[in-house]
Amino acid sequence: MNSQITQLASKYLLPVLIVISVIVFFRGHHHPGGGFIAALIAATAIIFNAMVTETGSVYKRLFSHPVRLVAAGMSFCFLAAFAGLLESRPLFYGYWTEIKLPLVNKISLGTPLLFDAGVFLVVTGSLLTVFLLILEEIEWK
Amino acid sequence: MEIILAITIGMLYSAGIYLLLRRSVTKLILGIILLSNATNLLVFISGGLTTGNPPFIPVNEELPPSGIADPLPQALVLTALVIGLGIIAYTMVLKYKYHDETGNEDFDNAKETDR
Amino acid sequence: MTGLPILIPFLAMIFLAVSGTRIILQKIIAVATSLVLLVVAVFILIRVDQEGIMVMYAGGWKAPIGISLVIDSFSALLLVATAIVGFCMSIYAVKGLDEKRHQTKYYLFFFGMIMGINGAFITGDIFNMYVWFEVMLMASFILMVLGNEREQLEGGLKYMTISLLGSLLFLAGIGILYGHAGTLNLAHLSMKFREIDLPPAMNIALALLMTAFAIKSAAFPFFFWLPSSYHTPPPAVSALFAGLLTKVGIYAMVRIVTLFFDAYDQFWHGLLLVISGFTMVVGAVAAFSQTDIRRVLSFSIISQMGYLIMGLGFFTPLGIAAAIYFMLHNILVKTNLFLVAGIVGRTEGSYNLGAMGGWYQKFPGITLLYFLSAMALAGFPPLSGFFGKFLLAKAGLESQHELITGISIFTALITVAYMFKIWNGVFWKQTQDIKWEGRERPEFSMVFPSTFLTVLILYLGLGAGPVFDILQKTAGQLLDPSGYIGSVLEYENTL
Repeated sequence: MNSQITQLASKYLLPVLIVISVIVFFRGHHHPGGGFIAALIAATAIIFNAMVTETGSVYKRLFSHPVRLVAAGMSFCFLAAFAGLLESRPLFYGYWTEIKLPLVNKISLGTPLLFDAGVFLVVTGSLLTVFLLILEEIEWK
Repeated sequence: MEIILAITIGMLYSAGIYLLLRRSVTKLILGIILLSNATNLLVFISGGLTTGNPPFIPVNEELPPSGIADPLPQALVLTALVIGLGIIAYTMVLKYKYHDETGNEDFDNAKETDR
Repeated sequence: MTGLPILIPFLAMIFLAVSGTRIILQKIIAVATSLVLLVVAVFILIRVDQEGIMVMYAGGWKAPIGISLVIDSFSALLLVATAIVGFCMSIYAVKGLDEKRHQTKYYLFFFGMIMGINGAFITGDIFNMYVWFEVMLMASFILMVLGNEREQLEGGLKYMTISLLGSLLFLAGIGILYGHAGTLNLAHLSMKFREIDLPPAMNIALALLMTAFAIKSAAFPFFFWLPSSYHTPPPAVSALFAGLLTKVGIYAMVRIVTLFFDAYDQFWHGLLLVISGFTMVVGAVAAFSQTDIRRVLSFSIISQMGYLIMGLGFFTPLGIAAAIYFMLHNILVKTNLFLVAGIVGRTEGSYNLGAMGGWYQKFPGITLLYFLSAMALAGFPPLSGFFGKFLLAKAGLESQHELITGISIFTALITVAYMFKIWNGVFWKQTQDIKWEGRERPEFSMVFPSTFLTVLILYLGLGAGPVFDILQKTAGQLLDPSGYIGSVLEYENTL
């Protein structure tokens, strides 16, 4: 896609959308939002970027191949599910702690959040895998 | 509101089944999309519709106020939508590969595995 | 403990996803995982047999609010059968599948499917069951077209369309069910069905669910997708499908019928018997008319499904116990027959009955494996199929369903006929002009799973007494759902 406008837009939209995705991710437990929606926003940003540049540079800038993101996400989900079993509690039992941070008062951290992070990585990774493959196959004009 | 949605669901189902019975592979996929949307809507309105009361607990309160919408059908629809997304992506790729391999778009010519 | 049959394949999937193209590592992970899964499944069966139904509430949310995982002895038996098939198939696929398909991660989707099947067996929540069905279906869609051959893509398209239609009917049924009963927990739903006069719309929901399960289990009017797709993938995939996929549909059907339906409901039980009769006869006759081994066996799956539905339709303790016995027998025998067909097809390079012969002289061991499985399927004493069919016939005569019992015995005769058709075509027929030089010999790792299954089939037949004792207990549990409801909801015998 060679349009100057979209190229410029994607350049500035990418960081903005990533920040929005992080915000949406963290407000997910008590408000609308959460891992799935955050992952859709993040994946949209990256795929939009891949459409205007080329897929090779996107692969380079990601930390690893998207399939590994899926695997990392699956292992987060596994840990969150398994945490309860160690103390012979049921599957997916939620443990919570609260951390005080200077800027944002306090954050609650717990296994449900870990599960959500897993969902985030799985959804981002699988969407990126699919779309980057399709973008490579079809010549985008 | 329920009546309008019920009619919409009926129309989506009939259109979906009509497309499913066509010979074209692309129309088959469109039919599946319509049918899955119709089913999602059906699940959504199955618990009854509540207007203006989203299922949220206000700040500083423990329990939700009475008369809120049932959150469970919404959760079910969300799950079904995600599954639907994955399946539609799969059908698209399958159709692409099938067309790539055979150049065939007509189900009347897809009899090879039925012999 | 209760969640392990889901978590173990999931863990394996994580490792397989990061394993890249290191095929040997994938094979080691796969065989080790399926062995662990088998041990865990046997352990669960023993514990359920001794201590009763195992229940776990995910996240600690008690039923009927949260999702509960329930293992009663029916689920536990099927978990063991799934683990056995998984173990055999993971060993078979080490040598029985080409490098190309291993590189596109056969084992990843293999464990995805096992996870979906185990999840469907374990869950005590009907929407969760739908989700596990979808997990299983997604994995099976991919396994079906793995390798991208022309035939596979066409079969995959047909399989996918009908399966998706079934899933959508299932989901629509769940929606209506929830709208009127206000719960999704199977035990809680069962209680509502017994206690409250539910509106007639519930019958629509039940009809939708039963149609969906009939599609999944390839019952009479909805069987056509199976023979046009099951023979297209390589044997490492089609044996897995033949052994397990249709049985999940039957499992769901048994659950719904035993938990939701009134025991004296003549309409549904009569309908099940009619469907079962048509399924048996049509499948068997069609199987006899085929000339491709895998298509004969595909139609044979349909015919055998009829017996299971018939046992459910009798709805007596003996009928249900016999149906479960037949289900276990069928999972093992069908997998084994597809495995033997895979070994034959790999060596011959074709599956056409007319073009081969002489296996009796060349490979007596494999001939024996086929012979035992075929005789078990056809129902010769003292093998497992005989006891299954005998007990089903006994249950039918005891509950005064003479006609359907007669049909089932007639079908058994056709079964003998088509099993002997394969026997003659591949093993017994003398042919002079076949050259054996330059062909691949069957590998040990491909024959071993088949031998293992044959030993189990022999045990199921010769040890039918002790096995049947467990099954009668299982049938008792299924026919009196108050135990299931009680242990899920922790009610004290309210029924």
